[in-house]
Amino acid sequence: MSTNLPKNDMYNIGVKQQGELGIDKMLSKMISEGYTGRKGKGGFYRLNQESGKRIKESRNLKTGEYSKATKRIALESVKAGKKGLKAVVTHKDKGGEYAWRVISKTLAYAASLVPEITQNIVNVDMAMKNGFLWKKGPFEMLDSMGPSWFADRLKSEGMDVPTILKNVGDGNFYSEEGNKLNYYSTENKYKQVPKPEGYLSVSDITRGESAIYRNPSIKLWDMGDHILLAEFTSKMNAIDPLIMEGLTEAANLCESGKFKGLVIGNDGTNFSAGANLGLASFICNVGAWDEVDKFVQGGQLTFMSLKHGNFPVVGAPSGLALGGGCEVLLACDRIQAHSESYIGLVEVGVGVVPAWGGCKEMLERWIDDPSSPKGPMGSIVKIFENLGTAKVASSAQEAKDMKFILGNDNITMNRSRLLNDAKEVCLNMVEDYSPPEPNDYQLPGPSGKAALDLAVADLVKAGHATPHDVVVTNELAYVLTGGNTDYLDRVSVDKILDMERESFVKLVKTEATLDRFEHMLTKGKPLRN
Amino acid sequence: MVEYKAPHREYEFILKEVLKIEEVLNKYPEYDEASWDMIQMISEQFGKINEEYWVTSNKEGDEVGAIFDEGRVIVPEKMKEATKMVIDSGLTQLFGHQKYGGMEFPNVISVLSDEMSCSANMSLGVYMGLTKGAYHCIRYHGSEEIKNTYLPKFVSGEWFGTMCLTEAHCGTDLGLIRTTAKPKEDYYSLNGQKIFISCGEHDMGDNIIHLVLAKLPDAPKGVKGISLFLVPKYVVNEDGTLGERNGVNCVSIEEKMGVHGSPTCVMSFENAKGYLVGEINDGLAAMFSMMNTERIAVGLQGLGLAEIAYQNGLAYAKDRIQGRDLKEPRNPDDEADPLIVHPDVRRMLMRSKALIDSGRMLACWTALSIDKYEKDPDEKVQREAHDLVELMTPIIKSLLTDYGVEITSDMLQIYGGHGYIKEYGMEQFYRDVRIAPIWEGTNGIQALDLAGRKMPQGMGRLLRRFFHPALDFIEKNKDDDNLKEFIVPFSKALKGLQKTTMYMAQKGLSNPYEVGAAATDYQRQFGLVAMAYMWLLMLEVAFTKSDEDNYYKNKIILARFFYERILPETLSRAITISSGSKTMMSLPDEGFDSVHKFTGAA
Repeated sequence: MSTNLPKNDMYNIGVKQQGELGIDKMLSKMISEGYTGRKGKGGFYRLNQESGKRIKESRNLKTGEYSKATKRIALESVKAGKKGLKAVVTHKDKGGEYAWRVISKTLAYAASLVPEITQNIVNVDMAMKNGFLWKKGPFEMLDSMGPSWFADRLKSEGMDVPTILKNVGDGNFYSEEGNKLNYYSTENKYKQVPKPEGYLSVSDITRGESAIYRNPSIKLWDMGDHILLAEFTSKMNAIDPLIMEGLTEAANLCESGKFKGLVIGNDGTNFSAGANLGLASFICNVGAWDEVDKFVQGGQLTFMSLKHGNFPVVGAPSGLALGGGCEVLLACDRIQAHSESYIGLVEVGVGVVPAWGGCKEMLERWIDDPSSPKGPMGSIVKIFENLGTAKVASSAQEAKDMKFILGNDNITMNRSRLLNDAKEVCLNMVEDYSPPEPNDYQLPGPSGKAALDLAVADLVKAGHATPHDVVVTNELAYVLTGGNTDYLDRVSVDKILDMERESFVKLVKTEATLDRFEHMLTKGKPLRN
Repeated sequence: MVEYKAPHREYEFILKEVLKIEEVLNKYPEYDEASWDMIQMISEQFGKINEEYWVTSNKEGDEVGAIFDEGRVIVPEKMKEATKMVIDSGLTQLFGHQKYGGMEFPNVISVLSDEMSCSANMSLGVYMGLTKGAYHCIRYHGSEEIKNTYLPKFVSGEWFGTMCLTEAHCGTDLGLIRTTAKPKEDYYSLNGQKIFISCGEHDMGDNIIHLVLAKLPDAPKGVKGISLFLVPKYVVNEDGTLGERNGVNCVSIEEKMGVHGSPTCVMSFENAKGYLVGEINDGLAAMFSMMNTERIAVGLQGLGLAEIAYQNGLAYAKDRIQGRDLKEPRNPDDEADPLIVHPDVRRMLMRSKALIDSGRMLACWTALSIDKYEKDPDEKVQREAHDLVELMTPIIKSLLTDYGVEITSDMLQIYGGHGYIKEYGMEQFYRDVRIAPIWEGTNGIQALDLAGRKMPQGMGRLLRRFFHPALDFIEKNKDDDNLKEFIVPFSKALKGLQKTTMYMAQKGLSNPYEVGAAATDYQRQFGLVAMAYMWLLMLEVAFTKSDEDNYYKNKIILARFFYERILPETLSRAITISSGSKTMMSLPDEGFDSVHKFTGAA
């Protein structure tokens, strides 16, 4: 790579500096001695498991010795980062100075390469975002700080100001005109950002438009062609009562005929990380059990109105769709999933059972599918395994095996095409749409539950299940086997929903479930209690 | 002439009958000695000393006060005598651990002793309270050597303690302190000035041990760079005898509104020898680990003064004749009826009594959890008890001190003009108690602690320790014919508190002003609901024994008064909270001004 680039290219300058500082020697020494990272003997950090505990250690770059990693230094500049990139690089501390030195050189370098490597800044931004998973491209970052401010600071520090940065002057690299997005071209004019056929993102739809409905957690947009888009906007796209209000509003708009179909999707990294557990935690801690019941029932009603309303609904997940985020998909007529979708009903991990129709939907999906295992318990055992272990599908393909996604559903490989594909699917369903009728099912009842309990007891013996796992899966088994039913009777979906709710409320009244909530919220991983 | 009788029966009811502390504490071997007989004996002894020596020293403490004389502070003679009585009877040993010569009595008993001493002479209570605080702080965080040197002297009553936090430019925001500590061979050299140091200098004991917050030369900025040091007035030699006079001196004492018997000192540290307590830069945490017990103790200052003011207000209301009963004369042969026949006087008395009874119960109920978290072998019990104490501490501190001010004022009111003059001693209670809502964190800070720290902690986990047992109580007793009258309004009040809590949890996430604007009202709403819960616990016992003794019947009437006339305040608090912060934050700073110029406006 070095030889192909000009000698004064930043890359070569960087390589030279690494040599001067001895970084290259240090790296090659680490590699030759086998310190190649976590799969080798360790890297800059390693997890020392000698004492039986996992202790994070850091490498002393001078001596090569490892010692217990010290606590992260709370740099003020990092906190300032909440206010944006400019706040970080202008912050007067070690972190701020470091950030400026990295960012200034990187962005100046990127800007200097236009028009040498491409005529089009959009290509640079796309390359960095798609190739290196940056959230923003170099020119988008420059816009966020203000290109003229950036250029002035480069100049004041004696660095070269790239031509395109000089040319853009007080303007930005991107500008919006109506619902069009323009970029600054090498001819010093703004041109429309080219968009390949079939690419569609929420920002394309919303640019210059105002939402049909909005609250802090959800916005509804007109996608064109009488299709409505529901975009989650809460933190982590977590599902809360406000989202339920918005989805109910969406259902009303579609039922009224103003819109003919609904697509649920967003531009976020994750479709939805699940229900808003923080809020639920407070409600449970103050013991407002009526509110808990409302919280659950409100979700059930909303999702039932999506499923059985007289309009098609298409869910378009990408990234995580967990717990409540999975249940909203299960209520859709179709799912158009990005291949990188991680779908799962993980409620058991936080000590509850899926109660926004998750259990009911899984029963329907497995029992109605002719390819499922036969017999009164065949499907139930499979569902119990997936839900009881809070298993998450590692791809959209695997989600098909777990029947979160069904045969009629499709997978989109290119994230940028996801929303457009979803809209197409929805449009195709609009004509002749008739909603599914609520069904009822033959479920095995107490004898089936006894079999599942036995399986759990084995897991406990083998040390794979904790005491509270037993309590939670006991409730799960109760719901999935239809409660006190007999296999010869049929259990309505409403009855299953009632059982979901009953079990949920029972579980959140336990100390151990609330401990699981707290652990997940404060530590970000499930508590094994 | 001020009267005071220690409220033994009230404590017997709460501790023995309602909380059944004997059963609870029996489980802990360290509390072997704390049988009820023993507790009763000590309570009587303590009460007697308070009634006979402490109350009588209170007036001199106020009128003569602590006197500053060229660096020395002289405490009035009677107060010294009163202190000597406590020390000679061995009562300073109550809460020390057996290892250091103490009797290791449960924390819940300190509610009783703290209340009584603050009733009888709050200034004197401060000396004792600070020493107890210093004892606990050193016991938790000091090295073995420090503990062995200093703790037995506190327990024996020979040495006293102080806490030195505040400096001229910072009190609440301790990150800004400037006092420095330079490391020397085997000690630190401290320099700087502290203000508002209660009992910083006096002649009650042989030595004074200051716990001082200071910064090392290269310490990080803010609260993470504060360390805690022990600075003795006289340096202690290796053999335990007193050595040279240390470089810590009282420069002056403040003139102030009340508690004249306890000097409020400006302390100067000049190359003073100090010893590190706890870890470097972890001083604030070490100091604040004592906060729960300290803050509850301040709450008890409010309670103590409320109690003595109430006793005197009541005596006056029964004795003083003025006006006639509105229906028919109580004493037709006399010129007039006693004040207590008048509904408005009864209102003040009953309100005070209802607040005192439930406030006392709340303090005892919480303090018992301190014993649980300190002594229980089960980690789960420990954690739950600790959560509860953390949650209730700011509530107890603020509630009991705010009501302390209100009750001393109302009891003074019963005296009319005689309350305002010095002769009857009522105005002293009002002046003395006024510091309690201020020190150890103002009540505004307590409210922020509750709403901003305790509420969100563990995503609301601390709240569970109050709400779930209260809900269980409702569930268990909802069909009880006697309790029904109270359970229904209690359920409503609890539901109201659930609502405001959820409202604040939700709003607070997006707008911190919401929490700040609601905090004080929330604290009061919570406090009143907690008091209502305390009444339920007391009523449960009172109803079962109401045929035995009028004492129980009267408790039921007081509870009814609380439920009818005090608990409804939770409604107005809830409405206030739901109005949010917008209006409060919208008035521009100049809009607060009293405009003082004529403009000629028509």
